[in-house]
Amino acid sequence: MPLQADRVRARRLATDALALSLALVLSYLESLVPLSFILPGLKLGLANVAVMFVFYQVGRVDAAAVSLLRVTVVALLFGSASSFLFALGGAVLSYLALLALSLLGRRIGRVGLSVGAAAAHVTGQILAAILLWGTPGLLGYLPWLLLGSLPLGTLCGILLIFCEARLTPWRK
Amino acid sequence: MNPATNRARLFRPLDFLVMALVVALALLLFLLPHIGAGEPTCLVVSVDGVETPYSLAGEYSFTVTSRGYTLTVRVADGSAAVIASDCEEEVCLHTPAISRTGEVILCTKSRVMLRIAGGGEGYDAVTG
Repeated sequence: MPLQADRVRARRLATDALALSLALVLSYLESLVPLSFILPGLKLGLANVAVMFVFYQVGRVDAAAVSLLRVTVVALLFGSASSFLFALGGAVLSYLALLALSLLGRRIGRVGLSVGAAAAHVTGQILAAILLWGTPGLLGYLPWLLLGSLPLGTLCGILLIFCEARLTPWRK
Repeated sequence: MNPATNRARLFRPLDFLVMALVVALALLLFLLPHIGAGEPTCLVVSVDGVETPYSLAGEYSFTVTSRGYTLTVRVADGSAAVIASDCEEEVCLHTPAISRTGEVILCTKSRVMLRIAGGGEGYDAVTG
């Protein structure tokens, strides 16, 4: 029925918009907890919880759109051209990792997905920085960032589990 | 979901495999620069891609200015470290002294990179 289809579309749009707003707020909150003094580029990654929520609860295309829009708006509001490129590199590689890991189906949990996506995110950021600045020495930071992605990715995965448990009944 | 507890499982078997792969990749990236790297020969300071070699012998300090930021580098006992910086992020200040070939200290704000160069990299004339 056309009315039902309209309702589904409206719910999908509303969920995407809500997730994008949440991702933007979480990006701002992340900036209040600076971890860059430990390692350049190290972040809590809370905004990725919103992207992964959309990936599993709405759709993959929607998740790509939310991720891309989040990176763009954050760069416009808080960042610069170079920070946009770093974030874009991280977001693209992180999304590709999500796509690849999601093929494993139910054998992999949200924590494994989140850790894999976090590791891909920091790798994408470093590669983008190397391309932009032409300094391969930046690879020296990557192993530390990968180790940092373990606890932070686990945290985001656990947050995602709790969000899905509490939000999906509401969406029905 | 676990029907018995009505709570989602936190971990699944492949989660640990992903974590192990990430750790393995990190270890590989730690070890790779040191394989066949050779003995350290000099400190290379790169400012916006322009490299200047410095000697690792003796004890001395020098400053590097780039993009409005000034870093003070101290060379002693064959190692180099940033001992002062007016950059607000202070990543370079918190990075330990470097002494092994391939190790780097980076200031992202000033685009200054300190790197220990090894044998075969062809730095003939050094400063300091």
